[in-house]
Amino acid sequence: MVENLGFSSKDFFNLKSEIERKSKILLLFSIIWLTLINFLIANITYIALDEELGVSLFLMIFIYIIMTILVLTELPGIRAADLIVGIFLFLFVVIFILPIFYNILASFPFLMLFIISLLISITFVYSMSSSAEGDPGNFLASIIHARPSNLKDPKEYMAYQLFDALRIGFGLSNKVELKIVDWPIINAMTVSGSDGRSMIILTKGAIEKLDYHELENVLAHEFSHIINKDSEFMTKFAIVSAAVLVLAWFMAYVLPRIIFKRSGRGSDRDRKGEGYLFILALISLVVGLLLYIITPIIMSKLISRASKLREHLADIAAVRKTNYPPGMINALMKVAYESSEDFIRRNKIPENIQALFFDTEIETHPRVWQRIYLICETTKTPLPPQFYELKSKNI
Amino acid sequence: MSLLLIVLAIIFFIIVFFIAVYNSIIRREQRVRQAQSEIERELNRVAELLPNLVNSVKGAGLLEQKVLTQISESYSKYLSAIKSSKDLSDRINTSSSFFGTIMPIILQLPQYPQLQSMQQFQMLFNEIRVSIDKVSYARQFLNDAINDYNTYILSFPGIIIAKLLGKKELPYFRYERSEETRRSLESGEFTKGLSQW
Repeated sequence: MVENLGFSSKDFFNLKSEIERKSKILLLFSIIWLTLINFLIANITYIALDEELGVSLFLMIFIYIIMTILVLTELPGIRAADLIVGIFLFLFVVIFILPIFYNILASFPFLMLFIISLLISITFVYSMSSSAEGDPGNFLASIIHARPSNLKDPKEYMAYQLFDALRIGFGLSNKVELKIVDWPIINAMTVSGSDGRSMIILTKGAIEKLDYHELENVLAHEFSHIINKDSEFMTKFAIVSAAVLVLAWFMAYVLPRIIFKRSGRGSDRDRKGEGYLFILALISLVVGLLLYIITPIIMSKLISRASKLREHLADIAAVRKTNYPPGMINALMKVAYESSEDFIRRNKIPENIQALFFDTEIETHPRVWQRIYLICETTKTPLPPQFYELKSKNI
Repeated sequence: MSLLLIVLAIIFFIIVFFIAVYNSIIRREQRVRQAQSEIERELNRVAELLPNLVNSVKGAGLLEQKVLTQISESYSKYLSAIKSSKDLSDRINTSSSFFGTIMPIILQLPQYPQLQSMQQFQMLFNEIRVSIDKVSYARQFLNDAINDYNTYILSFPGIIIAKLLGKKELPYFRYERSEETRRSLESGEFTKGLSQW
């Protein structure tokens, strides 16, 4: 029963919408988390800076820009032009739309700050993720030394022909290219860009070891990732975690200094704020340091769950397209038996790629038995004889 | 003055709306054309490659004469249908029944040890198999594209512009699965034995 895997339906379209809904909820969680951190910073600055709404709003915009620039350095391959558009979009909202409601909201300063935090988080995540994959393939291809397929080699020629067949099947004309990496393991990965161009990278091992139908299904899995825009979706999580780390840095190192500088000055103010400010600075410092510890834990949980859902979706979409589940199941079993995890760990591979089977520190793929189980349940295929062995070993 | 501005703005939005809808109708139409041209390309490709394959199999003297004549008969039918009929759906239907006859024979061929050693045969076999698959995928995509197009021009706002341009609903292609005998699930096609575990 599919209920064991946490899904309520066997029908393809219902399952697809269910998976999309669930993964969107996970993204919403991460955005809300970013919003709450922004909100905390906004409140601390608001209280510390004599409850001046204008000044703390200005500071929030400043944080937004700092966040953008710093996340830029963490995620390579981002186009600056899109970022500037994102910043201008945000400023447009703050300058032109917000003043309409300013009078109402100014009487509820905390609501105002919360709305601003939400705005910052959403515009930040969406503007960054639309720009994050500006030039997708070439960056990754240069890291792992991917090359175009050699059509004189019969096996690579067949792989290319199959790739072409699936390109036709998915209706992606000339927007996808195939590259090959000379790795002995079985693997395949996809990088998609926001401009509609994508790249599928096959390992030499996959071409050598998989047969016709298995390779067909593996390629269909990768094409499903492109159609479902999974790279783009998962990049949003990477952006949130990078942004949270930048905010943690801001809370731990920058905000306490601003508050202390503030407390040193201003002899004309009444001195009740001194101890108060000290506590605020301490809270900021402690929360900032805590965030450094908590962020990887929470984000890896969210990323892992979302990524697993997307993999399941790509599996069932691929099988639906090729109409041949045993090919996918055989490919999965071959991958499970032959891929060496040490190799993947040694060659660190960047984040915005969707591979057929990876097992890095964050577990991004469901267990092979779970994937086989869902494929069999949705396509009414009998379970393969090796299934129970895989399940008992939890592979 | 302000009335003029409002009227101008409305006209501007109508023009932008018209352009956007028109473009998306044309884009969907182009997708249908693209799928059709992919199908035609692959149908011609199968027609080109098949005689070579049949000749190489004939040389090895494996198949019965009855089977060979059956293949060549349906092949000539297929060829004449591809050459003569202008209607794509006709050609697709003929090709579908043709693939239905030859596919089971072709899929048996690699089991013969004499043929396994022939490099040229393997290449041809794979070429034909992938071409037939391409036709099947292209038909899938064609029906998807037609579905997309029809839905767009029958629903708002596409229906307005489609009526103005005189765009008609396109017929679906009959999607026969007869040739896909390889997709049978009964014959225990999972990899046998996993000795390394």
